Amino acid sequence: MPDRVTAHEGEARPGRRWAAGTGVGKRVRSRGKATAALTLSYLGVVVLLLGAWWALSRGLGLPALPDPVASFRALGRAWGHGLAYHTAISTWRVVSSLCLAAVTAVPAGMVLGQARVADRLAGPAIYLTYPVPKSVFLPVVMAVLGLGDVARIFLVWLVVFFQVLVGTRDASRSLSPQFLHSVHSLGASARDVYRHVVWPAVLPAVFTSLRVGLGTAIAVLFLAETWASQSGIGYFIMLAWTRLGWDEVMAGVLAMGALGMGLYLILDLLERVSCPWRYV
Amino acid sequence: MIEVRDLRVEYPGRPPAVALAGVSFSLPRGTACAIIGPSGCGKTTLLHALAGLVTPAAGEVRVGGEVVRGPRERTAVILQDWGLFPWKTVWANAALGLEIRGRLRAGRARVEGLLREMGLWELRHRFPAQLSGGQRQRVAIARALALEPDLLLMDEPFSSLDALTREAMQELVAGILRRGEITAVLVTHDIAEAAFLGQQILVMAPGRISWQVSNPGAMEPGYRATGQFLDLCTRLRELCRPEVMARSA
Repeated sequence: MPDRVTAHEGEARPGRRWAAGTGVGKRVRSRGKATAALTLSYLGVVVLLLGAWWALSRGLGLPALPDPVASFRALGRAWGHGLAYHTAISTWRVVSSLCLAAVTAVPAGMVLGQARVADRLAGPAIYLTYPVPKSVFLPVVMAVLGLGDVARIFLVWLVVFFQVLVGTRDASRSLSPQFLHSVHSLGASARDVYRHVVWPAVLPAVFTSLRVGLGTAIAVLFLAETWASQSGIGYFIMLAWTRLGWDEVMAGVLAMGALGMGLYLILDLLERVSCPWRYV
Repeated sequence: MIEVRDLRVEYPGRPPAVALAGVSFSLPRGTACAIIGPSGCGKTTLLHALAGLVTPAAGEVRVGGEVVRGPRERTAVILQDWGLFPWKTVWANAALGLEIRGRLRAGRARVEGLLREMGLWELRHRFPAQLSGGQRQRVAIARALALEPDLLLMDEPFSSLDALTREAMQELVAGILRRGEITAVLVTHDIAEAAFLGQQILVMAPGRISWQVSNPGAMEPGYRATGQFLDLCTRLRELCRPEVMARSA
Protein backbone atom coordinates (compact mmCIF):
# COMPACT_ATOMS: atom_id res chain seq x y z
CA MET A 1 0.00 0.00 0.00
CA PRO A 2 2.19 2.82 -1.19
CA ASP A 3 -0.13 5.65 -0.09
CA ARG A 4 -0.19 4.39 3.47
CA VAL A 5 3.58 4.41 3.49
CA THR A 6 3.66 7.93 2.06
CA ALA A 7 1.40 8.99 4.89
CA HIS A 8 3.82 7.48 7.43
CA GLU A 9 6.73 9.28 5.86
CA GLY A 10 4.76 12.52 5.71
CA GLU A 11 4.10 12.35 9.42
CA ALA A 12 7.49 11.16 10.41
CA ARG A 13 9.67 13.50 8.42
CA PRO A 14 8.91 16.92 9.89
CA GLY A 15 9.34 15.40 13.34
CA ARG A 16 12.63 13.89 12.38
CA ARG A 17 13.84 17.12 10.82
CA TRP A 18 12.84 19.04 13.92
CA ALA A 19 14.62 16.53 16.11
CA ALA A 20 17.73 16.63 13.90
CA GLY A 21 17.67 20.42 13.92
CA THR A 22 17.58 20.74 17.69
CA GLY A 23 20.13 17.95 17.97
CA VAL A 24 22.62 19.82 15.82
CA GLY A 25 22.01 23.09 17.65
CA LYS A 26 22.48 21.37 20.95
CA ARG A 27 25.60 19.66 19.73
CA VAL A 28 27.21 22.93 18.59
CA ARG A 29 26.34 24.66 21.83
CA SER A 30 27.45 21.75 24.00
CA ARG A 31 30.63 21.36 21.92
CA GLY A 32 31.51 25.01 22.65
CA LYS A 33 30.76 24.46 26.30
CA ALA A 34 32.78 21.26 26.38
CA THR A 35 35.80 22.98 24.81
CA ALA A 36 35.60 25.77 27.40
CA ALA A 37 35.33 23.25 30.23
CA LEU A 38 38.24 21.24 28.83
CA THR A 39 40.44 24.35 28.53
CA LEU A 40 39.57 25.30 32.09
CA SER A 41 40.42 21.86 33.42
CA TYR A 42 43.76 21.86 31.56
CA LEU A 43 44.56 25.30 32.98
CA GLY A 44 43.59 24.02 36.42
CA VAL A 45 45.95 21.08 36.12
CA VAL A 46 48.81 23.34 34.97
CA VAL A 47 48.25 25.67 37.93
CA LEU A 48 48.07 22.69 40.27
CA LEU A 49 51.30 21.16 38.93
CA LEU A 50 53.17 24.47 39.09
CA GLY A 51 51.86 24.97 42.61
CA ALA A 52 53.00 21.51 43.68
CA TRP A 53 56.39 22.03 42.05
CA TRP A 54 56.78 25.39 43.79
CA ALA A 55 55.77 23.93 47.19
CA LEU A 56 58.10 20.97 46.79
CA SER A 57 61.00 23.17 45.76
CA ARG A 58 60.38 25.51 48.70
CA GLY A 59 59.86 22.62 51.11
CA LEU A 60 63.01 20.75 50.10
CA GLY A 61 65.10 23.88 49.77
CA LEU A 62 67.65 21.96 47.68
CA PRO A 63 69.54 23.58 44.79
CA ALA A 64 68.75 20.46 42.68
CA LEU A 65 65.09 21.47 42.51
CA PRO A 66 64.80 25.16 41.63
CA ASP A 67 61.31 26.67 41.73
CA PRO A 68 59.22 27.21 38.57
CA VAL A 69 60.08 30.89 38.26
CA ALA A 70 63.83 30.26 38.23
CA SER A 71 63.37 27.31 35.85
CA PHE A 72 61.30 29.27 33.35
CA ARG A 73 63.79 32.13 33.53
CA ALA A 74 66.58 29.66 32.80
CA LEU A 75 64.53 28.28 29.93
CA GLY A 76 64.24 31.78 28.46
CA ARG A 77 68.00 32.32 28.80
CA ALA A 78 69.02 28.91 27.49
CA TRP A 79 66.60 28.93 24.57
CA GLY A 80 68.60 31.53 22.69
CA HIS A 81 71.88 29.92 23.73
CA GLY A 82 71.63 26.46 22.25
CA LEU A 83 68.52 24.88 23.79
CA ALA A 84 66.41 25.76 20.73
CA TYR A 85 68.96 23.97 18.56
CA HIS A 86 69.02 20.91 20.85
CA THR A 87 65.24 20.82 20.95
CA ALA A 88 65.11 20.92 17.14
CA ILE A 89 67.59 18.03 16.96
CA SER A 90 65.59 15.94 19.46
CA THR A 91 62.36 16.74 17.63
CA TRP A 92 63.86 15.59 14.36
CA ARG A 93 65.03 12.34 15.96
CA VAL A 94 61.69 11.51 17.60
CA VAL A 95 59.60 12.51 14.61
CA SER A 96 61.68 10.55 12.13
CA SER A 97 61.65 7.49 14.42
CA LEU A 98 57.88 7.69 14.79
CA CYS A 99 57.36 8.16 11.05
CA LEU A 100 59.68 5.26 10.26
CA ALA A 101 57.89 3.11 12.83
CA ALA A 102 54.49 3.96 11.33
CA VAL A 103 55.64 3.34 7.77
CA THR A 104 57.20 -0.03 8.61
CA ALA A 105 54.97 -1.39 11.37
CA VAL A 106 51.52 -0.46 10.03
CA PRO A 107 51.68 -2.41 6.74
CA ALA A 108 53.31 -5.35 8.53
CA GLY A 109 50.67 -5.28 11.28
CA MET A 110 47.79 -5.10 8.80
CA VAL A 111 49.10 -8.14 6.90
CA LEU A 112 49.88 -10.13 10.05
CA GLY A 113 46.33 -9.52 11.31
CA GLN A 114 44.77 -10.69 8.07
CA ALA A 115 47.07 -13.45 6.82
CA ARG A 116 46.99 -16.33 9.28
CA VAL A 117 50.03 -18.07 7.84
CA ALA A 118 52.21 -14.98 8.19
CA ASP A 119 50.99 -14.46 11.73
CA ARG A 120 51.70 -18.06 12.65
CA LEU A 121 55.26 -17.64 11.40
CA ALA A 122 55.92 -14.20 12.88
CA GLY A 123 53.77 -14.53 16.01
CA PRO A 124 56.25 -16.43 18.22
CA ALA A 125 59.10 -14.10 17.17
CA ILE A 126 57.05 -11.05 18.15
CA TYR A 127 55.88 -12.68 21.36
CA LEU A 128 59.44 -13.46 22.45
CA THR A 129 61.09 -10.20 21.39
CA TYR A 130 58.35 -7.74 22.41
CA PRO A 131 59.04 -7.86 26.19
CA VAL A 132 62.83 -7.50 25.79
CA PRO A 133 63.74 -3.89 26.66
CA LYS A 134 65.24 -2.56 23.43
CA SER A 135 67.17 0.26 25.10
CA VAL A 136 69.71 -2.24 26.48
CA PHE A 137 70.96 -2.63 22.91
CA LEU A 138 72.28 0.95 22.94
CA PRO A 139 75.98 -0.08 23.07
CA VAL A 140 75.53 -2.67 20.32
CA VAL A 141 73.54 -0.32 18.11
CA MET A 142 76.16 2.41 18.51
CA ALA A 143 78.97 -0.02 17.80
CA VAL A 144 77.29 -1.13 14.60
CA LEU A 145 75.68 2.08 13.32
CA GLY A 146 78.17 4.62 14.68
CA LEU A 147 77.66 7.54 16.99
CA GLY A 148 75.54 9.69 14.71
CA ASP A 149 71.80 10.22 14.29
CA VAL A 150 71.27 6.88 12.55
CA ALA A 151 72.02 4.85 15.67
CA ARG A 152 69.78 6.99 17.91
CA ILE A 153 66.91 7.02 15.45
CA PHE A 154 67.27 3.28 14.95
CA LEU A 155 67.07 2.60 18.68
CA VAL A 156 63.92 4.68 19.13
CA TRP A 157 62.41 3.15 16.00
CA LEU A 158 63.09 -0.33 17.39
CA VAL A 159 61.05 0.46 20.51
CA VAL A 160 58.11 2.14 18.77
CA PHE A 161 58.05 -0.35 15.90
CA PHE A 162 57.01 -3.21 18.18
CA GLN A 163 54.33 -1.20 19.92
CA VAL A 164 52.78 -0.06 16.66
CA LEU A 165 53.16 -3.51 15.12
CA VAL A 166 51.34 -5.25 17.95
CA GLY A 167 48.63 -2.58 18.16
CA THR A 168 48.00 -2.65 14.41
CA ARG A 169 48.07 -6.42 14.17
CA ASP A 170 45.54 -6.85 16.98
CA ALA A 171 43.20 -4.27 15.41
CA SER A 172 43.54 -5.89 12.00
CA ARG A 173 42.91 -9.34 13.47
CA SER A 174 39.78 -8.27 15.34
CA LEU A 175 38.19 -6.73 12.26
CA SER A 176 34.57 -7.87 12.00
CA PRO A 177 34.18 -10.55 9.29
CA GLN A 178 30.99 -8.74 8.29
CA PHE A 179 33.07 -5.92 6.78
CA LEU A 180 35.18 -8.40 4.86
CA HIS A 181 32.08 -10.18 3.53
CA SER A 182 30.60 -6.86 2.58
CA VAL A 183 33.63 -5.72 0.60
CA HIS A 184 34.21 -9.16 -0.93
CA SER A 185 30.62 -9.23 -2.12
CA LEU A 186 31.40 -6.07 -4.09
CA GLY A 187 34.13 -7.98 -5.90
CA ALA A 188 37.06 -6.49 -4.01
CA SER A 189 40.64 -7.54 -4.73
CA ALA A 190 43.13 -7.98 -1.89
CA ARG A 191 44.33 -4.44 -2.54
CA ASP A 192 40.77 -3.09 -2.26
CA VAL A 193 40.28 -4.96 1.02
CA TYR A 194 43.34 -3.30 2.52
CA ARG A 195 42.55 0.10 1.06
CA HIS A 196 38.84 0.33 1.84
CA VAL A 197 38.53 -1.82 4.96
CA VAL A 198 41.68 -2.87 6.83
CA TRP A 199 43.51 0.47 6.62
CA PRO A 200 40.66 2.70 7.87
CA ALA A 201 39.67 0.08 10.45
CA VAL A 202 43.14 -0.06 12.04
CA LEU A 203 43.86 3.68 11.79
CA PRO A 204 42.51 4.59 15.26
CA ALA A 205 44.57 1.77 16.81
CA VAL A 206 47.64 3.05 14.96
CA PHE A 207 47.19 6.46 16.57
CA THR A 208 46.67 4.92 19.98
CA SER A 209 49.86 2.88 19.72
CA LEU A 210 51.78 5.89 18.38
CA ARG A 211 50.60 7.91 21.38
CA VAL A 212 51.69 5.18 23.76
CA GLY A 213 54.92 4.77 21.79
CA LEU A 214 55.65 8.48 21.96
CA GLY A 215 56.18 8.40 25.72
CA THR A 216 58.58 5.47 25.48
CA ALA A 217 60.27 7.02 22.45
CA ILE A 218 61.16 10.19 24.36
CA ALA A 219 62.45 8.18 27.33
CA VAL A 220 64.65 6.06 25.08
CA LEU A 221 65.80 9.13 23.17
CA PHE A 222 66.90 10.75 26.42
CA LEU A 223 69.01 7.71 27.17
CA ALA A 224 70.43 7.62 23.64
CA GLU A 225 71.30 11.33 23.78
CA THR A 226 73.16 11.09 27.07
CA TRP A 227 75.73 8.73 25.59
CA ALA A 228 78.54 9.86 23.31
CA SER A 229 76.44 12.72 22.13
CA GLN A 230 77.02 16.35 21.22
CA SER A 231 73.43 17.36 20.63
CA GLY A 232 69.82 16.89 21.70
CA ILE A 233 67.94 17.81 24.86
CA GLY A 234 69.35 14.74 26.62
CA TYR A 235 72.87 16.02 25.95
CA PHE A 236 71.87 19.52 27.11
CA ILE A 237 70.53 18.17 30.41
CA MET A 238 73.59 16.02 31.06
CA LEU A 239 75.88 18.93 30.28
CA ALA A 240 73.96 21.23 32.63
CA TRP A 241 74.13 18.53 35.31
CA THR A 242 77.91 18.21 35.09
CA ARG A 243 78.11 21.99 35.61
CA LEU A 244 75.60 21.72 38.47
CA GLY A 245 73.45 24.24 36.60
CA TRP A 246 70.23 23.00 38.19
CA ASP A 247 68.00 25.67 36.71
CA GLU A 248 69.34 24.72 33.27
CA VAL A 249 68.59 21.06 34.00
CA MET A 250 64.99 22.08 34.70
CA ALA A 251 64.98 24.18 31.51
CA GLY A 252 65.92 21.01 29.61
CA VAL A 253 63.21 19.06 31.42
CA LEU A 254 60.68 21.73 30.43
CA ALA A 255 61.85 21.56 26.80
CA MET A 256 61.55 17.76 26.83
CA GLY A 257 58.06 18.02 28.34
CA ALA A 258 57.01 20.58 25.75
CA LEU A 259 58.33 18.34 22.97
CA GLY A 260 56.30 15.39 24.24
CA MET A 261 53.16 17.45 24.72
CA GLY A 262 53.49 19.14 21.33
CA LEU A 263 53.85 15.82 19.52
CA TYR A 264 50.96 14.40 21.54
CA LEU A 265 48.76 17.27 20.42
CA ILE A 266 49.87 16.83 16.80
CA LEU A 267 48.99 13.13 16.93
CA ASP A 268 45.58 14.06 18.33
CA LEU A 269 45.06 16.55 15.56
CA LEU A 270 46.17 14.08 12.88
CA GLU A 271 43.73 11.51 14.25
CA ARG A 272 40.90 14.03 14.12
CA VAL A 273 41.70 14.87 10.52
CA SER A 274 42.22 11.32 9.30
CA CYS A 275 39.44 9.58 11.29
CA PRO A 276 36.56 12.08 10.98
CA TRP A 277 33.94 9.35 11.50
CA ARG A 278 35.12 8.93 15.09
CA TYR A 279 34.25 12.50 15.93
CA VAL A 280 30.68 12.84 14.67
CA MET B 1 18.24 -17.39 -13.70
CA ILE B 2 19.30 -19.41 -10.67
CA GLU B 3 19.88 -23.15 -10.72
CA VAL B 4 21.15 -24.87 -7.63
CA ARG B 5 21.85 -28.58 -7.88
CA ASP B 6 22.75 -30.92 -4.99
CA LEU B 7 24.56 -28.11 -3.23
CA ARG B 8 26.59 -29.20 -0.25
CA VAL B 9 28.50 -26.73 1.90
CA GLU B 10 30.72 -27.66 4.81
CA TYR B 11 32.58 -25.49 7.26
CA PRO B 12 36.06 -26.68 8.25
CA GLY B 13 36.42 -28.62 11.48
CA ARG B 14 36.83 -32.21 12.63
CA PRO B 15 34.44 -33.50 11.54
CA PRO B 16 33.41 -30.68 9.17
CA ALA B 17 30.11 -28.98 10.04
CA VAL B 18 27.61 -29.58 7.28
CA ALA B 19 25.71 -26.34 6.64
CA LEU B 20 23.89 -27.47 3.51
CA ALA B 21 23.37 -31.09 2.55
CA GLY B 22 22.09 -31.48 -1.00
CA VAL B 23 20.01 -28.37 -1.75
CA SER B 24 18.38 -28.08 -5.17
CA PHE B 25 16.01 -25.47 -6.58
CA SER B 26 15.68 -23.18 -9.53
CA LEU B 27 14.31 -19.70 -10.01
CA PRO B 28 13.22 -18.02 -13.24
CA ARG B 29 14.58 -14.58 -14.19
CA GLY B 30 12.85 -11.62 -12.56
CA THR B 31 11.38 -13.61 -9.67
CA ALA B 32 11.57 -12.55 -6.05
CA CYS B 33 12.27 -15.45 -3.75
CA ALA B 34 12.15 -15.49 0.04
CA ILE B 35 13.95 -18.07 2.17
CA ILE B 36 12.68 -18.69 5.69
CA GLY B 37 13.54 -21.22 8.34
CA PRO B 38 14.77 -21.53 11.93
CA SER B 39 18.09 -20.05 13.06
CA GLY B 40 21.10 -22.05 11.99
CA CYS B 41 19.29 -23.93 9.21
CA GLY B 42 21.74 -22.67 6.56
CA LYS B 43 19.76 -19.75 5.07
CA THR B 44 22.68 -17.35 5.17
CA THR B 45 25.08 -20.02 3.92
CA LEU B 46 22.80 -20.63 0.94
CA LEU B 47 22.78 -16.91 0.20
CA HIS B 48 26.57 -16.72 0.53
CA ALA B 49 26.85 -19.64 -1.89
CA LEU B 50 24.65 -17.77 -4.39
CA ALA B 51 26.88 -14.72 -3.91
CA GLY B 52 30.01 -16.78 -4.51
CA LEU B 53 31.32 -16.04 -1.02
CA VAL B 54 31.58 -19.72 -0.01
CA THR B 55 32.85 -22.62 -2.08
CA PRO B 56 30.58 -25.67 -2.29
CA ALA B 57 31.93 -29.03 -1.13
CA ALA B 58 29.75 -30.66 -3.80
CA GLY B 59 27.07 -29.73 -6.30
CA GLU B 60 26.91 -26.45 -8.14
CA VAL B 61 25.29 -23.05 -8.27
CA ARG B 62 24.54 -21.52 -11.66
CA VAL B 63 23.49 -17.93 -12.12
CA GLY B 64 22.52 -16.79 -15.62
CA GLY B 65 23.72 -20.16 -16.94
CA GLU B 66 27.23 -19.82 -15.55
CA VAL B 67 28.70 -21.70 -12.61
CA VAL B 68 29.35 -19.34 -9.68
CA ARG B 69 32.99 -19.50 -8.58
CA GLY B 70 33.34 -16.13 -6.85
CA PRO B 71 31.61 -12.75 -6.61
CA ARG B 72 29.87 -12.02 -9.90
CA GLU B 73 29.89 -8.67 -11.67
CA ARG B 74 26.10 -8.23 -11.72
CA THR B 75 25.22 -9.75 -8.37
CA ALA B 76 24.60 -7.25 -5.59
CA VAL B 77 24.43 -8.26 -1.94
CA ILE B 78 22.80 -6.52 0.99
CA LEU B 79 24.04 -8.10 4.18
CA GLN B 80 22.58 -8.36 7.64
CA ASP B 81 23.21 -5.04 9.39
CA TRP B 82 23.72 -3.58 5.92
CA GLY B 83 27.49 -4.00 5.65
CA LEU B 84 28.05 -0.24 5.52
CA PHE B 85 31.52 1.00 6.42
CA PRO B 86 31.49 3.38 9.39
CA TRP B 87 34.53 5.25 8.02
CA LYS B 88 32.90 6.09 4.70
CA THR B 89 30.33 8.78 4.08
CA VAL B 90 26.92 8.03 2.59
CA TRP B 91 28.26 8.96 -0.84
CA ALA B 92 31.44 6.87 -0.50
CA ASN B 93 29.47 3.88 0.79
CA ALA B 94 26.96 4.08 -2.06
CA ALA B 95 29.70 4.50 -4.67
CA LEU B 96 32.05 1.84 -3.26
CA GLY B 97 30.86 -1.04 -5.46
CA LEU B 98 31.37 1.03 -8.60
CA GLU B 99 34.73 2.30 -7.35
CA ILE B 100 35.96 -1.24 -6.70
CA ARG B 101 34.79 -2.31 -10.14
CA GLY B 102 36.51 0.66 -11.71
CA ARG B 103 33.25 2.10 -13.05
CA LEU B 104 32.83 5.10 -10.79
CA ARG B 105 33.60 7.70 -13.45
CA ALA B 106 30.79 6.42 -15.65
CA GLY B 107 28.47 5.65 -12.72
CA ARG B 108 28.73 8.93 -10.80
CA ALA B 109 25.44 10.24 -12.19
CA ARG B 110 23.75 6.95 -11.40
CA VAL B 111 24.85 7.08 -7.75
CA GLU B 112 23.62 10.65 -7.51
CA GLY B 113 20.28 9.70 -9.05
CA LEU B 114 19.83 6.79 -6.64
CA LEU B 115 20.73 8.90 -3.61
CA ARG B 116 18.20 11.52 -4.71
CA GLU B 117 15.56 8.86 -5.31
CA MET B 118 16.16 7.41 -1.84
CA GLY B 119 16.04 10.86 -0.20
CA LEU B 120 19.70 10.62 0.81
CA TRP B 121 21.25 13.33 -1.34
CA GLU B 122 21.17 15.94 1.42
CA LEU B 123 22.83 13.43 3.76
CA ARG B 124 25.62 12.40 1.39
CA HIS B 125 28.44 13.85 3.53
CA ARG B 126 27.26 12.12 6.69
CA PHE B 127 28.72 9.00 8.21
CA PRO B 128 26.56 5.93 8.95
CA ALA B 129 26.70 6.69 12.69
CA GLN B 130 24.79 9.90 11.96
CA LEU B 131 21.90 8.13 10.19
CA SER B 132 18.74 6.44 11.39
CA GLY B 133 18.26 2.72 10.78
CA GLY B 134 15.98 3.33 7.80
CA GLN B 135 18.41 5.78 6.24
CA ARG B 136 21.31 3.33 6.59
CA GLN B 137 19.17 0.65 5.01
CA ARG B 138 18.46 2.94 2.08
CA VAL B 139 22.20 3.59 1.65
CA ALA B 140 22.75 -0.16 1.47
CA ILE B 141 20.01 -0.49 -1.13
CA ALA B 142 21.43 2.42 -3.13
CA ARG B 143 24.88 0.85 -3.05
CA ALA B 144 23.48 -2.45 -4.31
CA LEU B 145 21.41 -0.84 -7.07
CA ALA B 146 24.31 1.35 -8.19
CA LEU B 147 25.89 -1.82 -9.57
CA GLU B 148 22.94 -2.28 -11.98
CA PRO B 149 22.50 -5.83 -10.74
CA ASP B 150 20.43 -8.54 -12.39
CA LEU B 151 20.57 -10.54 -9.15
CA LEU B 152 19.98 -8.97 -5.75
CA LEU B 153 20.75 -11.03 -2.65
CA MET B 154 19.52 -9.80 0.73
CA ASP B 155 20.35 -11.30 4.12
CA GLU B 156 17.76 -10.24 6.71
CA PRO B 157 18.08 -6.68 5.50
CA PHE B 158 15.24 -5.29 7.58
CA SER B 159 15.66 -7.24 10.81
CA SER B 160 17.03 -4.38 12.89
CA LEU B 161 14.45 -1.81 11.82
CA ASP B 162 11.35 -0.79 13.73
CA ALA B 163 8.04 -2.11 12.40
CA LEU B 164 6.96 1.05 10.54
CA THR B 165 10.34 1.63 8.89
CA ARG B 166 10.51 -2.06 8.03
CA GLU B 167 7.19 -1.90 6.17
CA ALA B 168 8.25 1.27 4.36
CA MET B 169 11.49 -0.44 3.28
CA GLN B 170 9.62 -3.54 2.15
CA GLU B 171 7.38 -1.32 0.00
CA LEU B 172 10.46 0.41 -1.41
CA VAL B 173 12.11 -2.89 -2.32
CA ALA B 174 8.80 -4.25 -3.69
CA GLY B 175 8.52 -1.17 -5.91
CA ILE B 176 11.96 -1.89 -7.34
CA LEU B 177 11.44 -5.63 -7.76
CA ARG B 178 7.94 -5.29 -9.30
CA ARG B 179 9.61 -3.93 -12.44
CA GLY B 180 10.85 -7.50 -12.93
CA GLU B 181 14.34 -6.48 -14.11
CA ILE B 182 16.03 -7.94 -11.07
CA THR B 183 15.92 -11.47 -9.72
CA ALA B 184 15.99 -11.30 -5.93
CA VAL B 185 16.64 -13.69 -3.09
CA LEU B 186 15.73 -12.54 0.40
CA VAL B 187 16.70 -14.42 3.55
CA THR B 188 14.42 -13.58 6.46
CA HIS B 189 13.11 -14.98 9.69
CA ASP B 190 10.00 -12.81 9.44
CA ILE B 191 7.09 -14.85 8.04
CA ALA B 192 5.03 -11.80 7.05
CA GLU B 193 8.01 -10.36 5.19
CA ALA B 194 8.53 -13.60 3.29
CA ALA B 195 4.83 -13.72 2.43
CA PHE B 196 4.80 -10.12 1.21
CA LEU B 197 8.01 -10.12 -0.85
CA GLY B 198 8.47 -13.75 -1.95
CA GLN B 199 6.81 -14.83 -5.21
CA GLN B 200 8.52 -18.12 -4.43
CA ILE B 201 9.04 -19.03 -0.79
CA LEU B 202 11.59 -21.65 0.23
CA VAL B 203 11.08 -23.07 3.71
CA MET B 204 14.32 -24.50 5.05
CA ALA B 205 14.88 -27.22 7.61
CA PRO B 206 18.45 -27.64 8.90
CA GLY B 207 20.68 -28.18 5.88
CA ARG B 208 17.93 -28.60 3.27
CA ILE B 209 14.84 -27.11 1.68
CA SER B 210 11.71 -28.68 3.14
CA TRP B 211 9.01 -26.87 1.15
CA GLN B 212 8.73 -24.58 -1.85
CA VAL B 213 5.59 -22.42 -1.89
CA SER B 214 4.32 -20.33 -4.82
CA ASN B 215 2.91 -16.92 -3.98
CA PRO B 216 1.76 -15.13 -7.14
CA GLY B 217 0.15 -12.22 -5.27
CA ALA B 218 3.43 -11.13 -3.67
CA MET B 219 4.39 -7.44 -3.70
CA GLU B 220 1.01 -6.33 -5.09
CA PRO B 221 -0.21 -3.10 -3.51
CA GLY B 222 -2.69 -3.92 -0.78
CA TYR B 223 -1.65 -7.56 -0.64
CA ARG B 224 -0.99 -7.41 3.11
CA ALA B 225 -4.69 -6.69 3.78
CA THR B 226 -6.02 -9.71 1.85
CA GLY B 227 -7.25 -12.96 3.33
CA GLN B 228 -4.96 -14.80 0.93
CA PHE B 229 -1.93 -13.14 2.59
CA LEU B 230 -3.10 -14.03 6.07
CA ASP B 231 -3.82 -17.63 5.03
CA LEU B 232 -0.33 -17.88 3.56
CA CYS B 233 1.23 -16.58 6.76
CA THR B 234 -0.68 -19.18 8.78
CA ARG B 235 0.43 -21.90 6.40
CA LEU B 236 4.07 -20.81 6.50
CA ARG B 237 3.97 -20.71 10.27
CA GLU B 238 2.67 -24.27 10.22
CA LEU B 239 5.42 -25.38 7.81
CA CYS B 240 8.09 -23.90 10.07
CA ARG B 241 7.07 -26.02 13.06
CA PRO B 242 9.77 -28.59 13.86
CA GLU B 243 7.45 -31.60 13.71
CA VAL B 244 6.09 -30.57 10.29
CA MET B 245 9.65 -30.02 9.08
CA ALA B 246 10.63 -33.47 10.27
CA ARG B 247 7.74 -34.95 8.27
CA SER B 248 9.03 -33.39 5.04
CA ALA B 249 12.32 -35.31 5.25
